[in-house]
Order: sequence, then structure tokens, then C-alpha cells
Amino acid sequence: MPRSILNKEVREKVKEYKKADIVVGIPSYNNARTIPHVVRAVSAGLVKYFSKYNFVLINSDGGSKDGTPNLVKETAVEDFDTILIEHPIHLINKIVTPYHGIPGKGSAFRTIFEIAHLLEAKACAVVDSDLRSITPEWMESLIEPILFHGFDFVAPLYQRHKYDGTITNSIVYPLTRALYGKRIRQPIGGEFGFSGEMLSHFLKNKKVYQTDVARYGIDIWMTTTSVAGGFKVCQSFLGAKIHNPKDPGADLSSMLSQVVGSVFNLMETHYDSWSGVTDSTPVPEFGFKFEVATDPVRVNLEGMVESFKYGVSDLVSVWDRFLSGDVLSELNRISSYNVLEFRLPAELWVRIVYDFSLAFHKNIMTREHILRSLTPLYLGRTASFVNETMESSPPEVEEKIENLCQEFEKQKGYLLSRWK
Amino acid sequence: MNLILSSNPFVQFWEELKVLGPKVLVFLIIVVLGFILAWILKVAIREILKGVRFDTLCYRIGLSTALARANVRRTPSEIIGLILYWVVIFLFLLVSLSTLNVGAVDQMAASFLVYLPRFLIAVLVLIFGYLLAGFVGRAILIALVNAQVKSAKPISVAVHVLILILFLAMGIEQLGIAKGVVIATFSILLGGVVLALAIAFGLGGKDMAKDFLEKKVKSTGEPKKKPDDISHI
Repeated sequence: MPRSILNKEVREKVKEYKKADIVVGIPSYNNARTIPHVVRAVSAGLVKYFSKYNFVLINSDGGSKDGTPNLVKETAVEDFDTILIEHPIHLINKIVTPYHGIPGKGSAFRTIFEIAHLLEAKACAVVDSDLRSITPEWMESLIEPILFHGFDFVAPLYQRHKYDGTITNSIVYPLTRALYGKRIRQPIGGEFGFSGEMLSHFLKNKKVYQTDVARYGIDIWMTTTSVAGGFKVCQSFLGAKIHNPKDPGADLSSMLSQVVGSVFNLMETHYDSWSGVTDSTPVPEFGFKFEVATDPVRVNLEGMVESFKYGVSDLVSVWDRFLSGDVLSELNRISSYNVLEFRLPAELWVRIVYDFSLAFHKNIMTREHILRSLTPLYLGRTASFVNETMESSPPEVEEKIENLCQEFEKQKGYLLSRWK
Repeated sequence: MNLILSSNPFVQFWEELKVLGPKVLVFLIIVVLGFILAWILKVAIREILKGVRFDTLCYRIGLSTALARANVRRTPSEIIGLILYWVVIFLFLLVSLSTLNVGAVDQMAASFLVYLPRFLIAVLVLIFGYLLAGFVGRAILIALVNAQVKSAKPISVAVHVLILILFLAMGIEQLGIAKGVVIATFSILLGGVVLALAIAFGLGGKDMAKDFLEKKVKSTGEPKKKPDDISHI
């Protein structure tokens, strides 16, 4: 029998609670500033919308030094009367535990999954601990489609600043949409709802938790696994997403390599699921969409363009193993642009992403080197996106992203023709 | 009497031939067997390496590209098969020559057999050094470019070359060629490079170091980088 990753204290708590209809997990690492608000919003949401159900809130912590776990234990909604018409029937049951394994969000999620599985949860939700805009309604949006509409996986849909989530907008969303044919706008959003059946599926292959899935790769792994596994998927509008910056210690190159590496790895696993897909379709949506203001984002455009130029001048010896001569000469030409006229066209960007995925698939060199050498090109594309959308309104920005998605779908034949 | 005298060298020759003949026959048999075994081993190792995708691995670590640059048309698995082929033939030749009981050949065979493991270790050290230098050089290059370090390329090339020199010295030392000279040359070379770099940085970067220290000590409070709140994920 495999050794449990849960400690004795947690197992005793599980014995005490026996079962839970709903489990909500919050992974954390040094989030003392924001986690009390997240815990309050989740608790209020559960009591307000699911008072007839048993629920447990789990905090899976990565060894915070700022007292995050204690704050989770101590935080309570002082006055439910202000948000509820009826008084609550339930107390908030909590399990606060450190997680084991590779340090990262994925390992924290795995602990939450294991506990939820033991509690035989019918519906689960996970929310990030750095959120500043979460409201009790998020619980309803993430859990209701599971409990009352028979969905297995709920992806979030938010109003975000145009420069927030640029890895999502320039790579993950367009690529996963072109591959698997489902228009899930925030595949690595961080907040998800899922059924008990989906939960069991997430725990089937424990080896994945030894890969980048244990880190930032978890979100795309969950989304792709549910889509490729043929589960019923929908997305729910949550409002604005405003959050503190992700782990300030983590550098961009590692983050990008973990996320993109997970997408590329999943392409290998689910080749049969994506190779036959030729176009994309929308997924059912829940929630009432509305316009909300988001925090302004300062962008260091010069820094991004400079990084791109460094890459073009020094990394050609790495890229020429898998990027064709015409792509390299085009990059060379672009690197002569000044900051404000800097553009990396969508067609070229899509070709680069597909060539990187092919190099990764064919093991042209150490995979970590392939992934990390993408950073300057990604920053170039981000700088180009900032320049293209500097004066654009949110709908215009969405249109730009839609055009990029269509380009990914258009060039999918190129990827397929070189895959085997 | 005359007949006896004239037939004596022939008899002697015949007697010697009777002794040497079987030895030559054994020599030839061993050589032929060696060729057959070497050929079988060459084909077997080539197929096994192809089966375990050795060529793909070599392509991945850049060995195939290096071979192509050196105008070598054979695949790495073919090259290893060929090396094994000639090593086996050479070994069989030495063994077969020892059947002839020629003193000099016996001595040469003995010293070669003693030397062979050292030679193979030296080859392995060189191959490992080449691969490690390529891997570390590239990793440093990518990391420095991502950190926007201006001299990323020269630094990575320097690290690459230093690792190559280190492993080359280790390989030559393993072969036992001019041990003292190799170590002394390597020490002088490395020491010289470090000293040259120190002097170059010291002289060339004097003003830069001054500026840097002044900024650190004075701490003007001016932010080093432009603010960037962009959240990539």
C-alpha cells in the first residue's frame, strides 16, 4: 500500500469530519496579507449558498514564514447577519496542513485532492490565496454548475487588465484552444470547480506530481486533463480578478518554462485527442457578465524589447537547431526596431511556438534549454502586444487575442505535418 | 655422405616448418575468427544502439552536429560499432601473434593489454568532458541572456573552453603522456587566464567599479529598473 502524503493530524481530522459534500481548497505560501480576506469570502459564500450541505475548507501551505496557516485557523466571518438573511446552521470546518513533495502549487493541490477524496466530496473548488477581488459569489459560480447542472469541470472567466496574464493570452489560451478545440478563456486561471468524479481522475496518475505539474503546471494540467478526458466542461464568470503578484521569488523564465513545458508535455500525452481537431467551439458559460475597473499595470517596455534583442544577438546558436533560416532572419530584422515601433507579428509568433513544441517533442536538445530559451521571444511578443494595444479598449484587446487564436488554428496543419 | 650433407639444411628447414606450420595455422585461424567476431560485434552493437535510440540522444546533446561539422558522415552508433570492430581485430591480432612465440611481439601485446583500459577511460573522459562543456556552456548562455547580462556569449564560451581544457588535461594524464608537463602547462595556463582576466577587469572596469561603489555607498534612492507590474501568469 502506498504511503499516504497526509500526516496523522489530518487523517484524524478526516475521521472526525467523516464526509463532506463540498470541499474548498486554498493553497498558500506567505500570503498573510491576503489570505484572511480569501478565507472570509469562501466561508461566507459556502454558508450563504450551500448552507444545506456539509463543507470543509482546506488550507495546504508550503511552509509560510509569515503565519499564513495560523491566520487561516483564526479567521472567521464576524457577522454573518450582514450577508445572510437566515443565521448559519453550519460551522466552518477547516483542515490546515503543510503539504509534502516538490515545493509548488501543484503539490499543494495534490494534498487538497487527497483530503477531498477521503471526504468523498461531491464538489470541490480551489481558489488562489493572493486574491484581493474574491467575493462570496465566486463559490456559487464555481460550485453550482457541478452540483446542480451536472458539469465536471468549471473554469473561471474574469475581467482582467489587458496586461494581466500575458502567458495566458499569448500562448496558453490560443494554443490549447487550437489543439483541443474548446474555447476555455482562462485555462490557467487558478480558480476551478470540479466534481468528485473529476477529482478521482486527477488522482489516478500520481507520477505527474513529480513533474512541473507539481509547480505552476498544475492549472493547465487540470484543464487539459478534463478536456482531453471527455468530461463536461464549462466556464463561469467571476468578475474582476485582482491579485497580488505571484511568488515574487519565482523568476519569469522558470514560470514560463513550467507552464509551457506542461502544455508541451500534455501534447505528447494527448496526441490522439488533439490531432483530429480542426476547429474550436465555445463551452457553456455561467454567470452574468459586467464591466469592472481593474488596477492599472505599469509596463517596462524598454526592458522587454532589450531582453528580446539580447536573445536575438546571443541565442541564435541555440535556436538554429530548430528554428528555420527565414524565422531567424525575420527575428534579426525585427530586432533593429526601436521600442515604440517594435512589432512581432502574430504569424511569426505562432510559427515560433509551434517550432518550439516540435523541438521539445523531438528532443532536439535538453528540454529545459529549449523552454528557457523561449523567454526573450515571449518578452518580445509581449512588448509587441503592449504596443499594439496601448490605446485599445477591453473589447478591442479581446479582438486582438481572438485574431491570434485564429492564427494558431490556421497554422495547426504545419504542426501536425511535422509532428511524427 | 654427400647426400647427407646436402640434405641437412632441408631437413632442418623441414623440422622448423613442422614446428612453425601449426603455429602459423593457429595464427591464421585466430585472425580469421577475430575478423568474424569483430564483424558480428560491430553489427550487434550498431543495432542495439539504434534500438535504444542512441543516435537520437547524440543528436539531442549536440554530438551529431559536432560530427557533421567535422565532416564525419557516419552516425554515432556506426562509429562506435567501427571502433569496437577495430579494437577486437587488434586484440585478436595480438593474441594470434603471441602464438608465434616472438619475444618482442609478446612484450608489445602485454604492454598494450595493460594500456588498453587506460586508453578507454581517457576516451570516455574526453567524451564526457565534451558533452558536459556543451551542456554547461549552453545553460550558462541561456541563463545569462535571460538575466540580460551583456557579455553572456563570451562568458559562456570561456566556461565551455575551460571545461574542455580541464577534461583534455584529465584525459592526457590518464594516458600517462608527459604527466608532469601536462599538469604544469594546465596550471600555468589556467593561472595565466585568471590573472589576465583579473588584470583586464581591474584596468578596464576601474571606472565602472568606482561608479558602482559610489552608487552603492551614496544610495541615491533612484530605482535601478523601471517599474514593471506586469503579471505574466
